[in-house]
Amino acid sequence: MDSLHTYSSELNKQYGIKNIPIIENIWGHRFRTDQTPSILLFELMCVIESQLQAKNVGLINSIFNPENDKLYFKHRQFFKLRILIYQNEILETLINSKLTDEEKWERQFDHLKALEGDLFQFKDDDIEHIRNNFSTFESFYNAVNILSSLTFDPLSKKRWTSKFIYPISSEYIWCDFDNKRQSEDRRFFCRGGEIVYLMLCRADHRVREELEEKFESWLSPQNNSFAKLANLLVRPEVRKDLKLREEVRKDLGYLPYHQLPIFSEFAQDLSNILSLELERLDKVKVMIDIIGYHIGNYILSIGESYHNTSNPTELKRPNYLVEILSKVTNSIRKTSIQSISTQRNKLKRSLATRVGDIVSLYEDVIEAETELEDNSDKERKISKQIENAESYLATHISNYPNVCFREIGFLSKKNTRSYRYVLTEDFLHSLVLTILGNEKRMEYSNFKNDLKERYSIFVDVTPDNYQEVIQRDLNRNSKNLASLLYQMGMLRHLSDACSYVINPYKEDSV
Amino acid sequence: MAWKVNKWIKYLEGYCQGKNQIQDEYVRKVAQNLGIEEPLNIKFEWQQQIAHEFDSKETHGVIILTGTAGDGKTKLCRDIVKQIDGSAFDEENWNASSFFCSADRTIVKDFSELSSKETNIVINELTTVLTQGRAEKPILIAVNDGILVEELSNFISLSSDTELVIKATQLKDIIEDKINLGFSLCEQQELIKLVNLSKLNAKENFSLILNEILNHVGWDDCEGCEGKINGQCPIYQKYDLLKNNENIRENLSNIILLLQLNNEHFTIRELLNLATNTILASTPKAKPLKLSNRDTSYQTFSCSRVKKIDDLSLIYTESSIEVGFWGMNLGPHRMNNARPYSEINKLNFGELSTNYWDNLLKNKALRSVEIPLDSFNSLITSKKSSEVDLNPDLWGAVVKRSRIQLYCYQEGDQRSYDLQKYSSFSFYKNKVYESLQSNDSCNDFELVSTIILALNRVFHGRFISENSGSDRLYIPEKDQGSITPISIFHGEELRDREVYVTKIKGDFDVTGSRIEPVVEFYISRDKSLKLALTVELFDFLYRVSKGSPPNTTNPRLYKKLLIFRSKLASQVNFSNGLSNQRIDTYTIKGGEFKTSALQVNHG
Repeated sequence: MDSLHTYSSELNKQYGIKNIPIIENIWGHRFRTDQTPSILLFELMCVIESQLQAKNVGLINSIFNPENDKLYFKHRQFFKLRILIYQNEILETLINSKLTDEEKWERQFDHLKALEGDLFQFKDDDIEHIRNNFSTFESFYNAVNILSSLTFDPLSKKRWTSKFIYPISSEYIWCDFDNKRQSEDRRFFCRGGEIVYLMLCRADHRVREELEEKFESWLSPQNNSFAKLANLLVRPEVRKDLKLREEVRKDLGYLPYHQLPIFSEFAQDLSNILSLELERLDKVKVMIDIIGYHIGNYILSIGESYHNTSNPTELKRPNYLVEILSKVTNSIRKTSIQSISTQRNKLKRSLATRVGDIVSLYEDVIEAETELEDNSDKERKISKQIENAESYLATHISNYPNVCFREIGFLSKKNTRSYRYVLTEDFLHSLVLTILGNEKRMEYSNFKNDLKERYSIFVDVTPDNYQEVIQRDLNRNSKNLASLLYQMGMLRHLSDACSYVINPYKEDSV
Repeated sequence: MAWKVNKWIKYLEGYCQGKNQIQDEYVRKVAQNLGIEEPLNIKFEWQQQIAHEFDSKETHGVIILTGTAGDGKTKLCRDIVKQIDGSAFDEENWNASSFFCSADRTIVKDFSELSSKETNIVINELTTVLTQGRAEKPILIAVNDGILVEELSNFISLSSDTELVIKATQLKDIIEDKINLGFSLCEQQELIKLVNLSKLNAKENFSLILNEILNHVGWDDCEGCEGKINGQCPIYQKYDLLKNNENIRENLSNIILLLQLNNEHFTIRELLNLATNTILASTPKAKPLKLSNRDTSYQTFSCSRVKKIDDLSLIYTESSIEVGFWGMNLGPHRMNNARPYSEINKLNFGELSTNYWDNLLKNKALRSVEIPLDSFNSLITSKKSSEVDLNPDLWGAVVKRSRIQLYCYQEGDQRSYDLQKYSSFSFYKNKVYESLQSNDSCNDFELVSTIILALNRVFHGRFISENSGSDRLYIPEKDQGSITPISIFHGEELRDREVYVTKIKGDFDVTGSRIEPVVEFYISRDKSLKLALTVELFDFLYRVSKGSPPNTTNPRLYKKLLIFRSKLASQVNFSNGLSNQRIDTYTIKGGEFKTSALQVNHG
């Protein structure tokens, strides 16, 4: 039987990895805790947009193809727009000053022309573009302010080249960048988005086709005011200028699994979200949540499958016993806290079961670094490599599901000292929309069933191996979930334990 | 003189017990055992109408009776059949089975009691009606809401006949729409009439139930009883008070109305429980509600319990009308967790008040009504509680119960709803409910303006003055999402004449149907979006229109309305011819909602 995974003995050369790529061969290259689910989405959109450019010039056949492993275009940069929004403090001073419009324009343009760096400096064409499009300085100011209001996490102290706007159209898709070194770096775009992209490429053919169509539509020119404003402020970026020569085309990240059922489920969920009759800003929020869930779930699934064997025949999934936030502690909370600890241990053990196989692939690398026939030196070096891998696991892999789940509202420490799985309003909102899709309603017990079957989220029943949970607590948990959905306006009580989960964007109700 | 034991009271006590005690057949047996010839038999007008519809010779049809346990589905079935069959009705035969199928008619008394074979027969008959486009015979089915849909789902998943599956799916969609929304837009929906007994007017039902109890001949057996003659029987006192004070009955039933207009439904069973508990309640159980140390170990009075009480004068003050209606005699847990009392207590009567009412409470001379707790008036009028050596529990009980009694006894005071959570209910009742009783829509200008102003404040920020944004609803341009609280780009507008307050219409209007107000937004001639106008929503909009900040007044409702904004924006076609030429934004200057074009040059 085919193995679930494949190992690569070339990763260190391919990606310039200094250590033996043990973690990379198990979970992929790579995930880091700096890359939250929202930044995963931003990177993913960049990759998809680049691949769309490649498809348009005939370099690849389709955006989502299992064969795709390279980037043919640099990511969108769009520095001029980003400067106007994030590196333009003079704007506020000018608008409040008593200068005439002409004087304000002059000062503004002087500032923009004086910026250092070829990538950032405004040229005469850029200035003319702005001047021709805005009749008054105030309109220009308002336009910049309006776009600024769409900034994701506006209060963060990140460098301006790591600030993003919600990617509601292609005008707002751009890369992370090191403005000091004037090059892309991996500070936040750590390749997690590339791994997400690779997962989508390895989904079922039918789902890939759906995704292709929907993302192409998403990235096609939009006629709304936000898109118009971006085009009025800056000239369009000439994408062909960012095309990479063949010898410098970049490899995408590495994903050690060719086909897993969770890839198709992930892709299907994204496809469902994109087809929702919902506004784009709302869809972005739901997409972030679903990406966060699936990536955390992927990492834990690898731990679940490999903790006691180095070659499982099928992927096992972790179980999530969730508490609907309550004030008092109960058996569900205790079991949920315990399960997180167990899942982390499985991640450690899965490293231990597989490290031997991976290290043996890189024997030549180790031998090249050790003294001839000095076995103890070789052992030491191998131990060091394993230590490094364990350290990376502890810092970035074990923690990563927590990072993802915390951001989306699937994990919480509220009222406790330890994390446990919860269903907060935000995440529940996303789950309802993803499960219901464009359906108006679904019977409540079917909804709970879908939570269990599709997402391994347990509310009123336990997985087989959870013996300690009391039935009374489970019943109350189910009641609390119904109560929460009702307060959110997403549940309609009919009678006698008959309730419907409703989609408020489709059904006439408040 | 002696104290009598009235069998009628004992019969009524049965309605104060748990749910299982009030099944129709059980009730009849109890009445028979007690020797009561006529048990409580309330003649609801809607029963007559449904029976007539079923028995109509002009058009056979399918009537599905749904509702929750205790709505009276089984009783209605029985009454319909008895009315049609007349003297041929066989009670024993009726009690023996749940399913009656012949060439002339099909009747299902309780769908949940059918065998698999019988279930299949019924579903096949229903799908045949859709296939043929008519019903060959009348079909009447009584079923709880979720069970029929579940059985249809099972039928669909197990069937291999494609045509049958299509029709069964169509049937399921029709029924699901009707039980959820009250109507369906599916094809052939008119062939399946669904009468949801949960949609009946609980206020009217409560009034009918209370009147039937109070006018029953069973009270005649109290003649000659010592308790009645010396005026000390707490049961008879409450009976007498309710019978002779229509305002008290009206005030109590208006609480049911308020809850019903907030989408709470009360079954016949619950209303019977409420009515009898109101009359038979003993004394409050919780210490913060007691006026004395007197305790009774039972929740309700009966004739035999009353005759053993030796300090009846104290009981008169302690066991007043609000004790039973608010469930104070049941203990704090049931008061706050058992329906219908839990819903009544959520309105916070007694906790809330205004200067007007507290003034009336203190100054008896200013009022036209007296309340039982006027005997504690000196406590309320004392300036310093410490001077009176006050027990804080007693003070709390007196104040709370006095306010509730003021509500119960007042006569048509428009400010009476200030004594509970939704103080705008008076406005709502007059402008919305009473208008929709006789009309299909409300034409009140002030009402629509209030709603539009409030929605503008929710959609765009609360700094819009009352001079602006009350005659047209400004809908943001699409794609600004429901997560951004303040929208920026101007989209369409809906004039006030395109916003209506109407009501949901069910399959056929029975007398006693409850009114479900909705706000309908006509975004085009053929397309409208609806928003259920519950008391809670109206109260929120009312407060916001007066200046309350939307996001903190009721954060949950605020979020839901942002979702509705998103829905509106998505559905509205931006048909403005200038859309490609201008970028409209809005600003709010000096409270005025001003749309302005960003002065840009692009066409």
